[in-house]
Amino acid sequence: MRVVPTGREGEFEGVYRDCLHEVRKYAAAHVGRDDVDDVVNATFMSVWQRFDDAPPLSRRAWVLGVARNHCRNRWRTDRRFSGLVDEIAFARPRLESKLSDERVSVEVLDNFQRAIEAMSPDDRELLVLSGWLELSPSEIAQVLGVQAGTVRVRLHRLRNLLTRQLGRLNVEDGVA
Amino acid sequence: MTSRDPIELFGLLDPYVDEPFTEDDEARLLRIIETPVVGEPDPGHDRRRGRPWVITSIVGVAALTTAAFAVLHQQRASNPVAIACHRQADLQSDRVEVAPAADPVAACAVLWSDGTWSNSGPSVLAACVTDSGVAAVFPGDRTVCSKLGLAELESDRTDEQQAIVGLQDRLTAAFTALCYRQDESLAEAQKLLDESHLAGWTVQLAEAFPPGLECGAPGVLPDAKTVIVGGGRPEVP
Repeated sequence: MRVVPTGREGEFEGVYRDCLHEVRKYAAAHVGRDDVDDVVNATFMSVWQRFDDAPPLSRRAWVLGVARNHCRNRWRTDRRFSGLVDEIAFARPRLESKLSDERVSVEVLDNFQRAIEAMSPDDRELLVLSGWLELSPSEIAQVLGVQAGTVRVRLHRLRNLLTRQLGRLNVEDGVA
Repeated sequence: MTSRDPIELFGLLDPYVDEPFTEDDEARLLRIIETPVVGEPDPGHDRRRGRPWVITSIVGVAALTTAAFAVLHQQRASNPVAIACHRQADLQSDRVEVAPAADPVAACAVLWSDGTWSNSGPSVLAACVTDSGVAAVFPGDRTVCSKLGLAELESDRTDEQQAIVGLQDRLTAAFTALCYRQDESLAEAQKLLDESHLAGWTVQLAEAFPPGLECGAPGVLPDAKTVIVGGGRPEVP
C-alpha cells in the first residue's frame, strides 16, 4: 500500500497524472517518439521545481508550455513537428480501424498526411494542440504565449486551409 | 469525403490511447517528488530598483500591446516592461528588476560589479524568457534556461521586427502620455504607423470605446499587420 501524498506533493501528483499522456503526445509530434522520455523527464522535473510559481490559469496549458520550451531549446527548429507524419504512419493500422468505426473513409488518412507535409510547423503545432489535445483557444494561447483572439484567427485560417487542401486532394485523386 | 470539421476529424487520427500508468511512470513520479526543491523563496529579499513608476504607469497600455507582441517573439521577451536579474540560477532567488535594455545580460551584469551582489565583475550570465514573457537573466551558461524549463531569449531582430518593436514603443509612449479619445486614437495610431514605414499595415478600431474607458490603448498584431485600438483606461482629471 502506498501512502497518498498530501499538500504540494499530492497536488503535483494530480498534475502529473492528468498531464503525462498529453505531454507525451505533444513531445512525440514535436520531436519524434525516440525523445519523448527525455522531454517528459525534463518537463515534470521543471514543473516540480517551479510548482509554486504555476500561473493561476490552466495547469495543463502551463505544463505543456514548459514541455514546449524544452522541445524548442533542445532540438531547435529542424525538428519542429517533423515527427507528426511519422506518428500517423506508425499507427496506421489502428487509425484505419478507428476511422472505419466512425464511418469515415480511410482516404482521409492519406489526405491528412499530404496536407500536413505541406503545412508550416506552426500550423502543425496548432493542429496537435486543438485536434489531439483538445485545448481551448484560451489554453492554446497560454501555451504559445499569444492572445486568445490571435489563436481564434489562426484556427479559423487553419480550418479553411485544411478544408481547401483536403478538398483539392480529393479532386486530384478522383475521390467523390 | 466528409463535411466534418477538419480539426475535429484530425482528432480521430490521434495515434495514442490513454494507457494505464506503467511502473516506469510511477517510478518517475517518486523520483521527481524525492528531488529537493532548490531555492525556496525568501520573501525578505525580493528587492526592486530601477524605475518602478514606469512599470506601474504603463501597465494599462501594455495590457493590449504585450500579449500581441508575443506573436512576433515567441522566444523573445513579450513583456517589455522590465528585466529580472536573478542572483542564482533559480526563479525563486533574489532578484532585482531593471529598466528595459537592448542587452539584458549587460544590464544585469552591472549588479555583479557595482557592489549590489559583488564587486568582482560579472559571472557568466544567460538570458531567458519566463512564462509571463519577461526577460530574466541568471548566472550560468545558456543551458540554465533549459534546466529551468524556460525559453532562451532571442535578441536578433530583422529590420521589419525592429520597426514593429519601434512602433510599439512609440505607441506605448504616446498613449501613456496623453488621453486620446476614439477618433484621436485612430488618427494618432495612423500617424505613428505611417512614420514606421511598415508596408501593408492598417489601423483598426477594436470596438467603440465603452463609457468609463475614454482613453485609447493600442495593440500591435504582427500576424494580421494591424494596429488595433480600443478604449483602455478612464480619463483622469
